[in-house]
Amino acid sequence: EEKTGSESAYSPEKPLHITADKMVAHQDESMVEFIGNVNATQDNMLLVAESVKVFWHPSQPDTADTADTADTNRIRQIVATDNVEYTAGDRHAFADKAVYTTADEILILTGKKAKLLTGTSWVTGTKITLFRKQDRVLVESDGKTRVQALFNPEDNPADQ
Amino acid sequence: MNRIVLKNPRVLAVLILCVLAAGAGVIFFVPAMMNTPQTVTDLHIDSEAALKLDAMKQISKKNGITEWELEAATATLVKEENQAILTRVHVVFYTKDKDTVILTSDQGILDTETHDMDFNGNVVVRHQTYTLKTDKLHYKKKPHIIHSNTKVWLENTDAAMEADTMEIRINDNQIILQGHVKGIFSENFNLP
Repeated sequence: EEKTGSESAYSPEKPLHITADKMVAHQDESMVEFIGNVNATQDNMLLVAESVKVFWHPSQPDTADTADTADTNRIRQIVATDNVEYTAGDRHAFADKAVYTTADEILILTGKKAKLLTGTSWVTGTKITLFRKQDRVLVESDGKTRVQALFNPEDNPADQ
Repeated sequence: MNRIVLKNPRVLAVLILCVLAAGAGVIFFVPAMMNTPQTVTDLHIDSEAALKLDAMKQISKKNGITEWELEAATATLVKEENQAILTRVHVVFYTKDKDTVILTSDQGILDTETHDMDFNGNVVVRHQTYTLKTDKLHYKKKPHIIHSNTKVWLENTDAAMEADTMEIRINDNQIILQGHVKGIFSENFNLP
C-alpha cells in the first residue's frame, strides 16, 4: 500500500472532455460508449483507451429535475478497456482495464501486469486501487505473480 | 310624396322607364358577365404539381402499429417524382416500446412510394433527454433509422457532443456518432 502525495490531480469544477472516433449512446442502459482512440481529459488528468463507457444514473421521472438530484453525481461509473493509460500529475499507470466509480471515488486498474509509475519509481500487480478520498493506493496480485516495486530514493518521498 | 307621384303622369312615366331600364340591365348584364371569360393576371401555375395542400397531416402504420406521424405547413405533391415537398415539418417517430423521436425542420421531402424522407434547414431531433441539431438529415423507413452525413451536435442534461455523421436506430434506442467525436461532460465529478 502506498500513501500518495498531497498534490491534487483533479479539480472538481473542470468539465471532462472526451474525443474518439465513434460514440454510441445506448439509451436503454443509460450508457454512452466512446470507441477508437479515446482521450478523456479533465484538467491535468488524461485517460487514454480504445473504449470508454460512461454510465449514468437513470433519471427517475419524478425526481429528474429536483435540485437535490442535480447535486448528486449523475455519472455513476466510467469503464475504460483495451490499452488503458492513465496520467495525473506525475503519476502514470498502464492497465488492461480501469473502472472509476463516482459514489466511492475509487479507481481500479486491472490487467496481467498493471503498472503504476510515480516519478521513476514504480509498482506492478494484477490489481491497483487508487482511493481518492484517503489519497491512498493499494496494489495486489493474483497469487500466481507477485507484487513488484521499485522505489527510487531520488524521487521525492512526498510524491511516492 | 306618394300622392305627388300618382297625380303627375309625367313623373309616373319616368319612374316606370327607370324600373324597365334597371330590369333590362339585370336581364342582359349579369349573364353577359357570367359568360365572358375572366382574364386573371399574375396567376402562377405550377405545371409540375399535381396537388398543393395547406396544413397536411399523414400517419404511417406498419402491421397496425403507428411508425410515424407527419405534419407540414404546406405540401406540394410533384407528379412524376412521387414526391411531396414540405415546409415547416413536424414528425413524430415511434419506437417499438412506444417512445417517441420528435423531428422538426424548415423543409422536407417525402417519397410518397417508399415513405423515406429528407429534411433540411434547422433540423432538430428530440429523443428522451437528447437534443440533436444538424442541417441535413434522412429517414429510411425500411430499417426505421434516421441518419445524417453532415456535422451534428448532440446535447443532453449532462453532456454536449459533436461529430461528422450520425445515425439513430429508432427501434434499438441507439444514437451513433462517427468521425471526430468530441464530448464535454459538465458533471463536476472527480477522477483521482
